[in-house]
Amino acid sequence: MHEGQTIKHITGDGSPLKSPSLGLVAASLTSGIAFASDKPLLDTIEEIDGEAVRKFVWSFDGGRTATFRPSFKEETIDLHEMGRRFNDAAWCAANADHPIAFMRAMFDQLGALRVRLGEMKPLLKIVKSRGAGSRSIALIPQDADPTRKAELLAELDRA
Amino acid sequence: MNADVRAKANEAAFLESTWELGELKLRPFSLGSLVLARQMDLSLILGGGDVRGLNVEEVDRQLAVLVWMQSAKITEVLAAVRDGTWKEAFSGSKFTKEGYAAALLLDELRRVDVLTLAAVVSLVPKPGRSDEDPPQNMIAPSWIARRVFRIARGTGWSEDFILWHLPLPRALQYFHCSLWEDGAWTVEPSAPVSQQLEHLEAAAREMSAHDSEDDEL
Repeated sequence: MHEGQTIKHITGDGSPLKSPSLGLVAASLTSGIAFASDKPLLDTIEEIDGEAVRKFVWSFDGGRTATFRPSFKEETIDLHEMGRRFNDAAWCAANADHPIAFMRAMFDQLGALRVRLGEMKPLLKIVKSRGAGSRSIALIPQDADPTRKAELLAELDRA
Repeated sequence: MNADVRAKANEAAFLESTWELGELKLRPFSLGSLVLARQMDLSLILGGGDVRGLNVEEVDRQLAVLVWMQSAKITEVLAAVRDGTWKEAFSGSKFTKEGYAAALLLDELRRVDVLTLAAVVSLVPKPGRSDEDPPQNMIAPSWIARRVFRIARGTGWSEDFILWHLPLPRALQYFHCSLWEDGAWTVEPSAPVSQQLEHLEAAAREMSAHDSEDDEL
């Protein structure tokens, strides 16, 4: 992220991997709307009214847009030709605005996102009410060692 | 200063009260005491009991002034400092004639200095933009000071009454009123942080197991 950058979000409840909005994330990336930073996802579990609730937020660069250039001719193709083009990276690169190239790019994007999400664990969002009616929040990685977790909780207690 | 030490010291400051030195009763060191020490150039007191650079006679003299200004009637002390007669006033005090325990007084000065340093903050200019992050080293007032201050501001009650005579459950309700009157949104307190972590870790394990089952389908 950088100064002056605007951020747009895609939010949802539950696992980001299983959310239908993962398709939108992949489609946006495929179309040129980039993430706001190299850590675009905030995936947390927090306690709300005694229940554990998982929420996620994808952050996109608000200044980025998608431009579509329909520069291909109408055509009818069979499955064989569909497969040839879909599996041919060079063809897709040379015909980047063709729907088949888009579908291939989105397929790759979605696959990469799924792999990345499969390796990630949601952060544990611990909330502490403060006297002035405000709250302090700690985001604790599940894999943090017990000492680090204790340190983060102690910091939150002092806040 | 370590945050834990600061928090503990700020809390301990609420235990400060009159103390006894022999037959003398000394008031706790206060803002007024600081003004007096500055007016009389009491470097030993202003330096939190640091005796470096002072000879024994000067240490004794300043400790004697300290005992006098903290034990004599406030009106007398103020008058003597105001009209410049304090040097005579303190040397004629009961304390000076009877002697005192210098080590005890120095310990007390150092103890109070730790509490004082824990309560000192510096101001930084606030940025014009509201979305700018606060400084990393920002310090909030202690929990007890926030509560006493708010209740006193809302009710006009004295610190002594709020701290030592007002029953705790009522004090907390008045604190709540003060927050409410200021338009704050108050909700049920969150569970202790360690308990929340335990619950969330268990929930995360359950969610992870559930996700794995889904993957197998």
